Amino acid sequence: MPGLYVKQFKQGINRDIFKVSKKKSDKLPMVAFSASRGPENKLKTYNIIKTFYAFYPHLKWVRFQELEGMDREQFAERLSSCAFYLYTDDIAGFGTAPLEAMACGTHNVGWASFGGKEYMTKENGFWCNNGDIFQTAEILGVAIDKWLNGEMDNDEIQNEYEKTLSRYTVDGEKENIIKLLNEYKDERIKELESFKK
Amino acid sequence: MNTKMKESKNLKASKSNILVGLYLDQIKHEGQINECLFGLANQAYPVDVVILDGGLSDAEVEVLMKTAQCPSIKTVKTDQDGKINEVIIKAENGIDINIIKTTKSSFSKIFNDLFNLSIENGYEAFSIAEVDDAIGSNWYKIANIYMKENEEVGFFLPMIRNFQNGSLSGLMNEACWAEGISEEAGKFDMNLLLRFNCANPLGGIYRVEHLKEYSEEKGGRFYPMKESIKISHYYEFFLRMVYNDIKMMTVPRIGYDFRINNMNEFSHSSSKIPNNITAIPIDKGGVNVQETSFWVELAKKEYFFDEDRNKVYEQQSQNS
Repeated sequence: MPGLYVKQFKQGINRDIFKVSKKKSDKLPMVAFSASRGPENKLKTYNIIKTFYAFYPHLKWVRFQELEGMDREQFAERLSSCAFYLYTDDIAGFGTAPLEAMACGTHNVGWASFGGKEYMTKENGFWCNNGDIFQTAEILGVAIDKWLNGEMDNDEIQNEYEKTLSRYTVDGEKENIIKLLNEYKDERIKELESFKK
Repeated sequence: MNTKMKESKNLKASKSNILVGLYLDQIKHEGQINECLFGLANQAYPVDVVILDGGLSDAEVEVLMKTAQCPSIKTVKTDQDGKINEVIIKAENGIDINIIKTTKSSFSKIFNDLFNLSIENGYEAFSIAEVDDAIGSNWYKIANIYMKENEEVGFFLPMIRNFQNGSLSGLMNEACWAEGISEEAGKFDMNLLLRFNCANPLGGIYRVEHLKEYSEEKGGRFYPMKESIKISHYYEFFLRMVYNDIKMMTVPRIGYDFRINNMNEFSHSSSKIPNNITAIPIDKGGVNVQETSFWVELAKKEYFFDEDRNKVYEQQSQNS
């Protein structure tokens, strides 16, 4: 149909790129983060990290890895090698990064921003009040302690992530958008036919 | 309950590839062994346990066997009315232990005994624990996964929670994960070990095959740890192994609770050097400041040699 161009939306998570590493030992005790919403967001994220180190001196050896200036494959690889993802986007309209983290078997700690409430549940991440630096630093320590104690080594957590991710597949996204456009097309045809009469 | 005495063959109680050893020369009270055995009985991955008996009385052996049948721990829980109650949690399974008589021992001798028992009985790896400590119930499971996934690594150390006089003072074995500390994250190297004596042998699993190659052999017995070295025996051991390219890593999981108190007496069968060791009288196991530095410095010189050169503190001080 002329003028109708079906775009493939990126909302679905590409599991060929974002995947759980095969070896358990590939998961490093590191926290990935991407403070990409400008200098204010960067400052807030660094404050979380500083507060975390102040709260938990016994975890001073835990490293933070900024995911910046990488292509998608590199981003996915680094994300997959980290045990945690610190999500500090307070104005996200949806928030794809936590879903990508789940796809990599990386546990989320971060802000339950407005857009993310669609999929964020207490089962699939350590979600904190949007913008709360102290709470996030505290919860991050709790999460790392749990992981170090082996309490997060079971498959149940990944199953929960998969449950969430099943709503955000690339194929699903394609189907949804085509369905949506077909509905729009049918409505338009109906509308045009009604003019003929 | 499986208890074998005075024999070292046929230790294998299960299909486990890991042998865990404890040394006991006295049981101060039942609670002392309960928590350690509870941790071993509750392991998500089964391990075989051997007790090296350095002079337990018959009554103590009986207490040990009774405790091993159903180890338990005591904890407190607050009920709905806010009342605090003591709760006893029993292990889901009993634990099969083998008891092997040995002589009054030093830590390095215990380590070597365990190594030789592991060879004789065909274990892939062994581990050493101390009886006052606690072992995480998932530790040997995750350590075994790391061992299977990392064929090139010889030793897998747990992160250890360090309790000094009852309060948590931090973690141990974690240094190799810190930024810019070691060349490869999570693995110990010479630079790191020479800068800090930061690796603790307790709870770690040691691959028998990797160790065998760099252990001195005398009369059919292997000596991976040099028995003549006091205090810094395991430091020298780690230095020598890493120097010989044996890879050693810390599994990023807390697997072991290390408990140490200031004490009036120190037994060299323990690897836990108390902070007040220089204040303990020499006849009660204490070591003076000069001797302590002598052994630490010696470790940094002796790791070049695979064989034990039997250096003695007195002789060295006379020469120097």
